[in-house]
Amino acid sequence: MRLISTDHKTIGINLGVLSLFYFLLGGLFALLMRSQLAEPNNQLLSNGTYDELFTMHGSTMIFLFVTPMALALALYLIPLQIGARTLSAPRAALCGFWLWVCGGLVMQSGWFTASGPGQDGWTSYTPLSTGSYTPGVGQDLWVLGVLLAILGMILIAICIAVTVARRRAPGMTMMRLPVFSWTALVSVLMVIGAFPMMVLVMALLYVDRLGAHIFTGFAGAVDYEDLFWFFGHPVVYVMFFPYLGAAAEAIAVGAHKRWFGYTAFVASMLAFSVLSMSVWGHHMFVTGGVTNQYFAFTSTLLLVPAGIEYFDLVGTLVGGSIVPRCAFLFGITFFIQFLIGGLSGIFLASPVLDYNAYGSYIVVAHFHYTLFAGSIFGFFAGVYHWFPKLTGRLLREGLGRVHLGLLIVGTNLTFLPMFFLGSDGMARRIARYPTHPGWAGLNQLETAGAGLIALAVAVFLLNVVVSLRRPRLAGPDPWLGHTLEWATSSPPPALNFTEPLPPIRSYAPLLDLREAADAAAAADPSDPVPVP
Amino acid sequence: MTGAVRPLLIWLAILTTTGTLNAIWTGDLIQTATFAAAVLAVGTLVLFQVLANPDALRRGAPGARGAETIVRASAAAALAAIGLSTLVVGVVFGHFLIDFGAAVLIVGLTRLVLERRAQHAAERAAAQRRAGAEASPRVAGRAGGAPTGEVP
Amino acid sequence: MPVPTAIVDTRHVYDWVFGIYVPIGIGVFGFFTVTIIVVTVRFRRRDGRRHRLAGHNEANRLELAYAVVLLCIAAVLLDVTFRAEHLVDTASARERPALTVDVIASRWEWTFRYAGHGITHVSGAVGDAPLVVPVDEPVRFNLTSRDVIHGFWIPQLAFKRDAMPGTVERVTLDFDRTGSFSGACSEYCGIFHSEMVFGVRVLPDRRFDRWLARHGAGPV
Ligand code: HEM
Ligand SMILES: [Cu+2]
Repeated sequence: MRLISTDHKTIGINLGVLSLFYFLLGGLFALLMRSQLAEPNNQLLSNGTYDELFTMHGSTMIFLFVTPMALALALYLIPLQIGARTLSAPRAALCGFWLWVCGGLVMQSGWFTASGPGQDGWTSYTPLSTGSYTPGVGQDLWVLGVLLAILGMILIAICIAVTVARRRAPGMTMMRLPVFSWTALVSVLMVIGAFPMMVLVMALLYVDRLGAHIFTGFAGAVDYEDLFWFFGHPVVYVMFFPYLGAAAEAIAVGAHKRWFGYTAFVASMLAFSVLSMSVWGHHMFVTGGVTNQYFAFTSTLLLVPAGIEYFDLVGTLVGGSIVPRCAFLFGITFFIQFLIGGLSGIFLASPVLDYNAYGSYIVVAHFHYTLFAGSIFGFFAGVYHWFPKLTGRLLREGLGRVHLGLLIVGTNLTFLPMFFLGSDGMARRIARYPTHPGWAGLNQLETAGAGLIALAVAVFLLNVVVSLRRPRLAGPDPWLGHTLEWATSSPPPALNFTEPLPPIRSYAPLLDLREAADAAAAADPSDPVPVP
Repeated sequence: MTGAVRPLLIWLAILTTTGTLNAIWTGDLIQTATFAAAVLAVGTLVLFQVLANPDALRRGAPGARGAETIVRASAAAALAAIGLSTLVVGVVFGHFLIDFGAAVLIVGLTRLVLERRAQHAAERAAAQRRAGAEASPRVAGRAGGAPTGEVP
Repeated sequence: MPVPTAIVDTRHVYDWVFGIYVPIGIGVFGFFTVTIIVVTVRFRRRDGRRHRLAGHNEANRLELAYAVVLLCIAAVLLDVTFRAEHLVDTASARERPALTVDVIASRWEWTFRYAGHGITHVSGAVGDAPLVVPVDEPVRFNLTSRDVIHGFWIPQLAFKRDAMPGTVERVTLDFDRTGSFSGACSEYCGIFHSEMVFGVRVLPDRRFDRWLARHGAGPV
């Protein structure tokens, strides 16, 4: 029954747990790659195996972990945050979930074919990925697996968008939507706007592989890149915004203060998400096939909405009453670490700088600082924040801090040296590198860092197991939350709320209640402010 | 659901602006077409919302909720997804899977239609009952094999 | 570093832009990191109060002013970038090349053809005859691919351009110092992508002429 349930919480958890499994699988691929790269001219893996690994690592992380996990968070949380009992069009979400499951299996099933799985990178550029250069069933399965997974995620996104439109509780105007819900809403709009293109591109690529020769010549190669990146850039923001929202909620609750600058934040999210659908050509600066100036212009402008988020972060912290629990700490680490990814992104938005960085380890460093050091820290902030809501149990704070510490050290050890390697001329997607002064040492640092990351993830899993085996009960609202999901039991009942909802007068209705109570208490000095 | 599509309209307006700027600056047909496709996709969503409920355009908070049908499970939706996926894999591995997948897909879609019909019938019946007396929460009968219920 | 003007040296342009972007980036990173940490420590709960009644939840005027400052920063960066891009992409194309080399990429080798001199060098998975060029002279490269997309990258010049099938890209580059450097393929092109490397030898003018005379079949 769990597998055909149309309850948003069940689909969300199923999707999230499976995505988390893919995180471990993708991480395993990464560790294998890092082992191969530990030494110059290493012979541990063959070129072909390395190519399959980086392709499946990137594809697994993007199509099967970070993006679906963002949707899983949205599926689980949005109905709760907007005070809804159910999803609109829940069958579409369930159907989407199953399409995504099948897509993932189809993509990974390539490992069991003679030709191996996909091997042309997560971008699968033509003409390399056409039948002439990558024959074999594995690449076919990759193309069709991606197609199915994307189709499934589109269905889920539509369902979420419609739910926000139709199922908000009385009083919940759009300008009272919680911060996380906003970040997730703009993400699903991007899914709806950009992902259909990827379905089309994968279908065309498949037909091309059958021998139809659609993407031929210079125009064909540029057109493929154009259409692919029209999906490919928005998807990285879908992999970012909801985690930004998760970090923001964790921080606001940890600071016992509402998220600062809500109006500006919402405006900047709208602008940010649209702008990020207009920058995709910056992946094509070196092709000579796009107008570089337009895309340099839009890409550089991204610093404006991004800057607003940081302003609001500082505004939230100032004047707060901060209790630095794990969720909060992961949240601010998200903002600090992501800054490296974001600033290096502005760097790459300058064509002249990209002419050197493109296709080098500078780019690998950049996107891991956004996706790993960014999204993954935001994801863990969300996990520490909402795990009690999902399970009714608290995660251990001590283990959480060990997890955080190891992850910070591991992440920077792994990805910071990549900037220097890239500047020094190390190309990405290479199975081995020559002996070159300095390269061996930096690569060894990275491999050691990857080991620390693995250890951090192991500590996290241990934390989950310990917290479930020897539960500490969370109660409905362990953190003094701000939003409606904390106004119901943990885990929430089948239809989410049994009690009547509190009045919704802002994006932090539970905080409104508490502030009103405090104001009343402050007016009456005989009744001291309660200390929890 | 008041006000729901207003932010989406703003979103579409900004996208149209960057798209127009792209068309002027680059003159690239494919890129203009991709912008148009995105506007169309989200625009269709907005249009459906407005058609379903013109209130979506108005400013203000959503009011009290009407009755709501609870769909608890749907084997048909899962079946349809699995059928489609099998069909697609069949394109690589041969006719047997195409035929099998198509069959599963048809069964799934048929059952989906049945489920929805049963749901609508239950909703109508409930509406009639409510017209008589104020109803209390109740779980309606099984619809097309999927348990559905309804709360006011 | 002064704005590069005379002949376009891509490394100088890169260093110029780099020298503006990176310090700003490091400054912004340092500013926010320090601010976030200081503010977090400063506003840690000490007095046991659950929450203060914060007076301000919004500061839209301030946000607007801040957004304008950000826009100004973006404008400055874009100005630098557009000027640099003009130099590298447009101005360089107007230079009169002293030498033209056809660069043909294919899986997994680079073929350097000195048209008119009868010289062909092949580097990559099967050869290691380098690209030989004169110092301080504009060299025109006609870049193409026989099969998939490759990337013609010379880190020493901080420059690359894709070699695409079905088209010839023209780029003009200037090598400002003599010596031996390395180049690589920067676009994943299949199983021996990592071996698609080449050497670059930059010779003083006289030696370059001698090299041409010695190895070439003479003007055709
Ligand atoms: C567990 C820590 C991780 C390590 C050690 C790691 C390491 C690597 C390495 C060595 C590469 C190959 C670079 C190359 O040859 O071009 C790579 C590529 C990539 N990684 Fe990761 N990675 C990690 C986590 C992640 C995460 C969480 C994501 C999230 C989305 C991610 C996304 C990617 C992508 C998209 C690629 C590019 C694949 C391609 O070139 O097609 N990685 N990673
Ligand atoms: Cu190549």
